[in-house]
Amino acid sequence: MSKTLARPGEATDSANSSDISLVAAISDGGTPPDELYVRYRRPLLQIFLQRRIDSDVAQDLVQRTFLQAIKKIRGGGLEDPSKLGGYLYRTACNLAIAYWRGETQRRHGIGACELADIEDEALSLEERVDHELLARCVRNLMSQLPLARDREVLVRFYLHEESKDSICKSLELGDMQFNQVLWRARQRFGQILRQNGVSAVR
Amino acid sequence: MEHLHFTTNQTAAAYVARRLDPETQEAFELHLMECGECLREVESWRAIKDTLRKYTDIPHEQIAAMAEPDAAPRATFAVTSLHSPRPAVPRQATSVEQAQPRAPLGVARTRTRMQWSMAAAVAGALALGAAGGWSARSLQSSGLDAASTAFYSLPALTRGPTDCLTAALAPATRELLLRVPGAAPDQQLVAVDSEGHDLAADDYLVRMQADGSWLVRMRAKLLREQGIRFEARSADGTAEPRGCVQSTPRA
Repeated sequence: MSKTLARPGEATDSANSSDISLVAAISDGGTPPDELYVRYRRPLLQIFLQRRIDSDVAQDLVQRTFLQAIKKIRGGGLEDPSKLGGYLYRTACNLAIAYWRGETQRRHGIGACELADIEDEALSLEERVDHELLARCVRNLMSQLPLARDREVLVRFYLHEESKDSICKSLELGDMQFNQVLWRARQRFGQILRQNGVSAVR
Repeated sequence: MEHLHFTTNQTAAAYVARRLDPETQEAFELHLMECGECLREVESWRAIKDTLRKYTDIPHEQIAAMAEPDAAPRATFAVTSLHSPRPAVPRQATSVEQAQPRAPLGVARTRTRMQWSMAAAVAGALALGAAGGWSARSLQSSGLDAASTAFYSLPALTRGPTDCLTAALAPATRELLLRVPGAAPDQQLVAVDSEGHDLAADDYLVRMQADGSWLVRMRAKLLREQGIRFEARSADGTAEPRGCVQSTPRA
């Protein structure tokens, strides 16, 4: 049983066939297979975090997404079982909208103890790495970037949420140069994490 | 093909920075459901972004200087400490800021009062733009001038969240300043379009004032295109409506 998200290149076909077998296993009743959780928990978490939903609430909404999907599969079934990922995505989007409209009551999500039981591959980077270590890695990243301009790009892009166009304009950067700055930073961050014993980060 | 396109364009980085248009974001998020490599990219960028935000102590003034590239020489930023969170304490408002009017201009107010209100608002906004203190958003704009700036104050909500203020915008109006009552230090004011999507971060600026209100600055063009509503969001994920505004042309 595949425990990880599909790699690029093998993504679509294997993911679709895996979705079909997952849906079949869920509709058979009994405990939903771990793979459902291991495979889709992390992307769903990002969907909620992207919508400015607090991490604890996001965990709760991920659970609800799975719950709704399981009910749907066991109730009427999915129109196209090979599109389980797409169904989970739409469900998550709808839950996020309902949440911001105040239609969803907050409940406490799974606790730290339960998280500890989850397979490592289902945990996001921030859940696997201690906050202090992560802070140290980001500090290293900022100090090791070769150009002050690269640091400035990161701060303006992420801390200040300034647009790429305006950063490029004021720093006289081309589109490709901007992307190279991000690529360099990302590569360096991966190296720093690996040096600190954080694996599975390319 | 899609994966290559996303990788080449650093889509994961732009996604976390909330810089994708809705269509690209949807396509990328659907891709994210299946692609482990892009997911790791997103997680790494989010870790960098969140950690930068939590632990950097870049002064507000420097951030403000970044928002107004014409107002100050370009600065070089360095993270000096990642272990001393920057307190989110709003700057003390000046007397001009505290004197923001509470009703829309042109509604049962004298001309003198209107002029004073406008002057106060514009002066307040100019002072704020110069001194910093706006939340971390990046409306790219030069200074304000009274001839092209409209100021309105949203009423306190009395008839429910859909109670919408109509702002009469003259053709020459380019900037809009809105006073939104009901601010709290632990909340963030977010502008939402008519379809429920958050406006882009650089579409508007928000500044909390000591009188318990927010001052929002945005381009008038944005309001001409759509109605805008405001939500006060808390760290625990709750959102409270803070009214809405729509525009009507003024001769």
